[in-house]
Amino acid sequence: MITNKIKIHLADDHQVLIDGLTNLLQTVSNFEVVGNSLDGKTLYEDVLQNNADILVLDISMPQKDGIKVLQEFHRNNSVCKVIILSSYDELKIIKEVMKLGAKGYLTKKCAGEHIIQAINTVYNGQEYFSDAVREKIFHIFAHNNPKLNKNIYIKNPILSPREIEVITLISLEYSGKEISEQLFISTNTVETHRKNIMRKLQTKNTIGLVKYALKNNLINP
Amino acid sequence: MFCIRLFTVLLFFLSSIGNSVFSQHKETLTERIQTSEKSKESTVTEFHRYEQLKNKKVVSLSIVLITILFFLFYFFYQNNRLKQKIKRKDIKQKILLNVINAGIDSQEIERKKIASFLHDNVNSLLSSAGLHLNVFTTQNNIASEEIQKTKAILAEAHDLLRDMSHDLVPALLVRFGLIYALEDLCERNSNSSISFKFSSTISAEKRYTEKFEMKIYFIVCELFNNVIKHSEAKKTVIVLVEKNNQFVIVIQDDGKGFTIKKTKDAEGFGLNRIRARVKKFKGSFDITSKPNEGTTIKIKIPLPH
Repeated sequence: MITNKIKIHLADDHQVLIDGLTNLLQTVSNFEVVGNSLDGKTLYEDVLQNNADILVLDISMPQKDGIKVLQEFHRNNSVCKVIILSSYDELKIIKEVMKLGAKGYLTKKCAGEHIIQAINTVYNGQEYFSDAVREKIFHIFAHNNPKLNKNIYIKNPILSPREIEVITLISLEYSGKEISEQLFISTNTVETHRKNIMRKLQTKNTIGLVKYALKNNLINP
Repeated sequence: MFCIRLFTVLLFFLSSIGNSVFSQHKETLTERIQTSEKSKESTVTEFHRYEQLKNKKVVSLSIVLITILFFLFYFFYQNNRLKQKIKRKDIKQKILLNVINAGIDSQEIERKKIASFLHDNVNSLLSSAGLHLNVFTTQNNIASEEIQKTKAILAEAHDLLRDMSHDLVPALLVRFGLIYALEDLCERNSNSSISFKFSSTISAEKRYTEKFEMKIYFIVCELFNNVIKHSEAKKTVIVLVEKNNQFVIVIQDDGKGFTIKKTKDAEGFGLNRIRARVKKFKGSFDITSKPNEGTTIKIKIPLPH
């Protein structure tokens, strides 16, 4: 049982936030908070020592900020997966940290709702963004496309919002690689999404996806 | 200086005339003495007359000299006074400039302080409150309307805080530098009624000193605000170039423009503040505008070292 626990390390310069996070994560049975840091100085060594699977990292920290820490993890090919938890929500910053190998991005605004899901998703090898961030990424990428229907986020009974984005982009003839680059996710994740969508829609190929997108007004013909 | 030179030339001229008159008289005198030795009596009277004439000349010449000297001193005095007046005015202007700049400087320091405080500390507190609330709801399995409302309020506080700290000092400016922040500023200010086009030959990764970046960013912010508020422009272009060790910003809009006569009114648009800032960096600030032909503002500032 113990070996199955997801080991988590928390880094934020506010003790009060670390307390809150620890408190929340303790309510999940297969999570274990193995350590925390108030600055980035010895963070890499600490994580190396306690062998954490997931690092929840703030960007603005004294002495060594989150971006420098992330670079250090990236340079050393660390197996620990990093989820950024920051008050920044600028796309440029999100883009930068994803480029440096972060696996998830949460804003402090929605930490409470999403942190558990984020840790589970990232632990299983996928990228995770909080809803607001994900929508922002998609919007910037696709808002200039006249073929895109503006209100694609009307509640869909079958597909998740992320899957709707992926099926929309596939229907707009973007390749898997383009989609992965623009949505800051790996090609593997795009592929997983595509398979899940096809399974959910019970189609055998991409044409089925395009047909569904047209029928449900995700794109304009 | 010109006056003084003029008077010395005049003086020289007058004295040379005087000299020639005297020497002529001397010559005629010796001739007369030689030719008419016999009439000694008449010579004596003539000599007296000559003495009288000589005295008269000396007196009139000295009067002229004194008046000239008087005028000379008067002009010299006036000149000095004018110079002092200009100097005083200069100092006054410099003090005013310093006062404006000191005001802006302290404002920027305060801005940064407040922004980072809001962004880091208050944000974390709110976030932590949300986390505890979540623990409570999951542990007790309560779906209470009050808790939902509280969560919504927390989310709203987060948004307000973010907008405010962004207005104070954008996070992008501090973390990624001026060029990124200005590009972002263009994106954020563009909407269906006005577009801001960004164009730069400077690498987006280039960083300057923090003070320089803040100053330039807020100058552009203020100019953009002017365009949005007063110009009725549809399209605005900002161009950034580094040339001859200078940072050059050109902002051009296609709005209604204004006559240069009205620049006095335009100074009310905060332009004097911008001027003061540009001047402090030893830069130049030019506006060209004509009614219905838009406005172009060009700012050149020496690059910081």
